[in-house]
Amino acid sequence: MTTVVPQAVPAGDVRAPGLVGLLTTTDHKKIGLLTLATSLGLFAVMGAMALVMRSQLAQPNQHLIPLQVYNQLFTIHGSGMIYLVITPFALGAGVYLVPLHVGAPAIAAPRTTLLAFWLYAFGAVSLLSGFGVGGGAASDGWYAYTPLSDSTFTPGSGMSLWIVGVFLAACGMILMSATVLWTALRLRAPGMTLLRMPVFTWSMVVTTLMGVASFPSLLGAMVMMAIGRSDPSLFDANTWNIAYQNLFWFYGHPVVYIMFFPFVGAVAESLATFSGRRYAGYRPTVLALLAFAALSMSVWGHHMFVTGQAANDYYSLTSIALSVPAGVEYFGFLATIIGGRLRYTTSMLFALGFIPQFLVGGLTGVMLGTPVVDYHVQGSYFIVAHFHYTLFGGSVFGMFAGVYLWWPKVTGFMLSERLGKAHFVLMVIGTNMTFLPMFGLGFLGLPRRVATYPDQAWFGTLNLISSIGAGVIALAMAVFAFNVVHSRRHRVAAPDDPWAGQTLEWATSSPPPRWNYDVIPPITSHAPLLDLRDADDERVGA
Amino acid sequence: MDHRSSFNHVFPLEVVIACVVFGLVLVVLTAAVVRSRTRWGRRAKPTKSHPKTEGLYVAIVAGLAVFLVVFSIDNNRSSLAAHPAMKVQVTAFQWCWRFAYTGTPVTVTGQCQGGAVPTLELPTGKTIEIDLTSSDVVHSMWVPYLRFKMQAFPDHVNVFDTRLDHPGSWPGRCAEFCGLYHSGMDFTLKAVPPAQFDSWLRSQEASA
Repeated sequence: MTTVVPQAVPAGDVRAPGLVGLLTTTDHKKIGLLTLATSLGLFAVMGAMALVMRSQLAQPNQHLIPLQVYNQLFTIHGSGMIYLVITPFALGAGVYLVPLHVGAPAIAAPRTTLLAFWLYAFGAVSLLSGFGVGGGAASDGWYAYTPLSDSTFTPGSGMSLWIVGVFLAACGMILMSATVLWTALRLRAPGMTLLRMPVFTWSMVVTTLMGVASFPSLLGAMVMMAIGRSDPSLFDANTWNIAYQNLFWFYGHPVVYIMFFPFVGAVAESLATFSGRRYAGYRPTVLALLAFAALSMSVWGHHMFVTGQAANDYYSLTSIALSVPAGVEYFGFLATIIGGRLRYTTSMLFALGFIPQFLVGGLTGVMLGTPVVDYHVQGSYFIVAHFHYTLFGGSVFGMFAGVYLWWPKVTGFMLSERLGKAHFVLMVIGTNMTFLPMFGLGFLGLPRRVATYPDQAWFGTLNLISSIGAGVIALAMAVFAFNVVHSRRHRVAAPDDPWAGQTLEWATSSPPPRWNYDVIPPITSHAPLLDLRDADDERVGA
Repeated sequence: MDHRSSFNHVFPLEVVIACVVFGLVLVVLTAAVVRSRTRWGRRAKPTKSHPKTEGLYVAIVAGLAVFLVVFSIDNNRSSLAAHPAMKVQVTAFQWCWRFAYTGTPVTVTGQCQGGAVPTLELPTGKTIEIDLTSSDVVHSMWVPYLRFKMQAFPDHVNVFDTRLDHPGSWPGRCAEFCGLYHSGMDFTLKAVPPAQFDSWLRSQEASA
């Protein structure tokens, strides 16, 4: 067996011990963990806000909380989930895993990566501190259209803190994207060609490409809004209001895929591992991811079909064209599991659950890409249902497929599979109970972002089902939290390779040492450990 | 422009296509799970690449996408009537609506709070042009029955036309978040026979 010795690396870690050491670390695994843990903590906060909103909406004409509080809650829930939870989680997973996946001892520009985490952390503090100022937190939704968000219509420092928070977090995400991309492109171990990178790492490459290409547009939008808060007369002119929408959505659509692709990658790794075979259609999938990323930069106007100021037919063309690379990705999923010997671990269940649930989001996305349908359902609960199927039924399920898959590697101990399965079952029930009725609500005429609604036929019933579903999701998350605490107390040490993994990280210890690998196995394909097992089987004549 | 019939032309077909695709994926998913049960004790078959199958599959998906694009664009003919029977200037504001009947002094508005919502009264069977604008922030005029909405911008007029074939009364709402009382920013769309509409308009003119 040939081995490849990694590049010369410094001998030890000279950092301070304890908390200071953790917060000033240049180890990509610790920076990754800080990012992942921060975003998971914020996920709980945003989820709690969703529960308050679902209580308020459980019945028609309810006034459990004041309108102003409701408006702050949906704004911070939406902006928090997008800017502070799913995007940072996606990139944090890349910071942790990409160096391991390509056989690098460290991430490129570790100090820049650490700076990225701190920009994100301070952004989160700024955004949330709005709750502590007079007038409360920002209350104009996650896309905060002008002129509503200027200082005439939304006075108070909550909105300004929101702009600062979004700006800082976005700067952090750009830097994090850049260092992950740099690592994948420039720090690969000998033998790790581009077309031997795992599917997850490819998904991170396209994610970070979209990150560096689209986030600057968000910075531009935030600067424009900040100028408008000092001089609101800027937004007297239609030009600047429509320019804001264009700048915002030029970021706002690619970010949907930034919040999605890393979880497609996690699902792909889980499906391949627990089908006991290499990922099918690897090259077409890589090509599809790249095509998807390129196309994603040209579809933003489908968010503006009802502005009367967008080239609707053009954006309909580019948006529906996305279904071709999406179809190729689904081919990869399905071709991998057909003929495999499936092992129904919790990770695999979440990966399998992802497939039909994300599909609901994808297929309704085609409807939204059709202007005459969008004219009716835009801005309604139909949209809310659609993007929660993509981001919750899809991304969050992919996130948990990844969490259960890599937990042993990252922490060194196993999670309880029994509790994990309870978590999964509750999540499937809760997700569909919460979000399926919303398609009906939107179709029947309920706009999104309303603090209360009239007692129209079906509104009360469907909202009640949805609110009960939200409670089931909360229960599922409690089971997950209990699983973490319980499994940590009754510690079952994780072996290096608990799942018969296929990618490099399963060859090193759990958790990996400071510089990741003492010895890097030979890299012969995108599933090097599978190649080694196959070679061993051949040698013993199995 | 009858948006409701365009919607009814496109939406059901897209729902059927979506259901068929969803069903096919579920069948394949189930098949994979069932077949895997028969492989206990044996190893997974190595994955092979099937360039022909994959090529055919991409061709089918691409064909479907091309059809959907053409179908979508073909049904999105938003041409305006050259000679509408009448025009109404609709102004959205925080947090209600103002309907001004062009060529008359008649204006209908309200406060929208406490159930006192203004009514946009229109004659049936005629093409009516709506000139939509806002006097403050971005709003959106949505009548779910019409299967249509359009955003209202300050410093900009969006024009669309509509035609109501039957008398009736339907709720209309603001569909773009516009601040504190967004959730109560409702109106009623009422269609009456032309003769009844004319007498209503005359009585309004008399009192205006």
